[in-house]
Amino acid sequence: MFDLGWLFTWDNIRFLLGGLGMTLAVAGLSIVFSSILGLLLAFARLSPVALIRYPAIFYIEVMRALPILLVIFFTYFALPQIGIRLSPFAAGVTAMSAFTASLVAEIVRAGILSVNRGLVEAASAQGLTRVQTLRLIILPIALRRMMPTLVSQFITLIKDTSLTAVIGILELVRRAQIIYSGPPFQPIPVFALIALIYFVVNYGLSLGSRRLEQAI
Amino acid sequence: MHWSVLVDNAGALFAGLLITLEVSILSFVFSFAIGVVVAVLRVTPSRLLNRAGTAYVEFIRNVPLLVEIFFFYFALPSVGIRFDGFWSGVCGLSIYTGAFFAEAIRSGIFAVPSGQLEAAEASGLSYTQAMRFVVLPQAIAMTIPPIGNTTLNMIKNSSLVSTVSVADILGTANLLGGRTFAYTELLAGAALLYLVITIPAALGINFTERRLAIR
Amino acid sequence: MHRSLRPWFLVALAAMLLGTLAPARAAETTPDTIKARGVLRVGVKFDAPPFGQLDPRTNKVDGFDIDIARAVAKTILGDENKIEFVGVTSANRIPQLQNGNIDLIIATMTITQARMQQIDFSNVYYRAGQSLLVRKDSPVKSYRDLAGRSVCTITGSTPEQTIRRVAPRATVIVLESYPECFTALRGGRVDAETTDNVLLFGLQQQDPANFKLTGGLFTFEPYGIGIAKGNRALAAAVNTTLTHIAGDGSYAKMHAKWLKESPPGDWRSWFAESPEKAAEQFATQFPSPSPAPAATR
Repeated sequence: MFDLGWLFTWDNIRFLLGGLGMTLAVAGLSIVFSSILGLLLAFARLSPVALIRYPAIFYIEVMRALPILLVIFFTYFALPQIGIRLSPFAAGVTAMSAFTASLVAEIVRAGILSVNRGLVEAASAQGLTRVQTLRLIILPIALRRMMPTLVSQFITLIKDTSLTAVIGILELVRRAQIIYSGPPFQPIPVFALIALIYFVVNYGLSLGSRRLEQAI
Repeated sequence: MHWSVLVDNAGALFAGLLITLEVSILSFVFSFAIGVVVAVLRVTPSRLLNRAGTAYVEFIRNVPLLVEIFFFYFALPSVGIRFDGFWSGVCGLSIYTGAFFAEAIRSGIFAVPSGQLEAAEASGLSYTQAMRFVVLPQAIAMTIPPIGNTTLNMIKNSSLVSTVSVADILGTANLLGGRTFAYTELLAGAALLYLVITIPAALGINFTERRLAIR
Repeated sequence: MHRSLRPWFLVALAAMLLGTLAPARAAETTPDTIKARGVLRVGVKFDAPPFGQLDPRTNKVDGFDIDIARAVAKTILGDENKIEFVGVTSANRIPQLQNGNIDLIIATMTITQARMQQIDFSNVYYRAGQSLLVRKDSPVKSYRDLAGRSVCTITGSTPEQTIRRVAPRATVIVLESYPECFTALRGGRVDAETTDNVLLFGLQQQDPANFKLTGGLFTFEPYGIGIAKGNRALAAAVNTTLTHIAGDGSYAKMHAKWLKESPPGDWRSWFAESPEKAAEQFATQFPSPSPAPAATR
């Protein structure tokens, strides 16, 4: 029905794979940074010290109530006006990390709170310090419980990486646009192809995490 | 800082707020309808319909919303189907959010153990009574939090319509930003407008969740 | 357990501060700092043939603006290949320059008074004019015919503002890039695309059987090279380059190579005109644009 030879040339495939690489680079770095920041924000929100707790609550609640696209634009266009200057790549990673951290923080907090109080008390009765209890008892259990939510959050992050196209990052979507806006001008196969690429990556990730859960 | 830019363009930003609400409300109606249909497909005994429902949910959930909106806006005209930016946005948003609603509704239906229906019927209630007084209240209570969250995400995601030339809150801020270079002020103003919608919505969802939990 | 979390929070705070401060760079780059770095970073369009285009086949950028950039690199660094091309859009090029991500903007940018409040410009290196791209069978012959029709243009560009002014009854669709607009035009989503004639020409050349330029030139758009505000040394180096390439004939060669014709007969009258004068002329061509001449090309 369609001759798709023009699309599946080595040049086009390489060009799109480069885009996938960029997508995964932005997503990968953002996963690392948002995990770290999210963990710290969760601890801060659980802190009994109001001066620590309230800024964390404010950050989390405001950030997750905003559209991520707005956060990306803000990071890229607005921060320079107050002296914070980022390349498109750095701005993309910063925005995705800052935004996702607020969601990770809530997932981590729910995970920590889900751990039985009795277990914690038993651990300290055994002579474990608070940090030891956190590291050896609470976090391992919490981590297992929050794994599925965390993975689906990171899949959302990979999908949202497409939004960095608007600040000029040459990721998958932007590159697809470059291909279909030239001859032979057929957007549908190009969209089908990149949708498939996203599907394979994200569905693979969710299958993988389900396997992992069963294995643990 | 030129905060006066917000005052000067208050009318345009407010019009953007209305567009955001319009996109959100229309998308809610359509995506909820899609969600119900797909959820029903996934619990029917027919294997074929089951598979179709599953395929829809798994595929759509794993592809970026931007790709879906762009597909409507840039790709479909090549086969003669033309939605304008507004409707491309609503269609993309509805199809995307529909997959999440389907999951929320399905999980609610499955969350009520089937034994409860049987027990209710055994104790003399009719099927409709059992559904009405035993199963549905629990199913709805189980469904409200994920539906609330999905709705909230959908409102935030509606900002993507700005990429196809719709002057919603974010689209208006960007348009004015290109003209005045006052990006910080305009994007901060836009953020405030989103918070005006999303924070009360989140509080409302929390409140409903708590009320349902007490029952 | 909670008290011991305090150090964690301090670490978090430190990380956040570092995260925001570390990437900040000084916007001021002189020819000397560029020499020390050994590479000139230029913001160019990746999607605006024939001025700047990324070829998916080779993953390289080329075009008229690219050749101008190479000439500047040759002046400053003595080597036209010591250059890093950074893709910019009409909306983000000025922020990118102010960020210090790039040393220069050479990206089909019209010199305007509004932009001169944000950045400095070189002298004029090209003069384009706004025009219309339509389907071959379109009844649109001028911007006046756009009333009640839809026209696509680019966020943050001068043609966006002009078209709203000269065709107030047209529906203006604003997208991020020229290819997006061209896709919208191909799909019949809009009746016309408007921007500078040379960019429309680049798009039209991809499919000359189905599209044509129309409506003549209803503005003139003096292109300048964007330089961070107050960076006189770099501006001087750029202007020297422009004078040089005009004198040794390489400008005419670039023009012939990318625009398929020699520079227009009057080019020496506007080439290397000062940005102040160009911006003033650009501003005073409104509100009554001159009637469109018969044909663009």
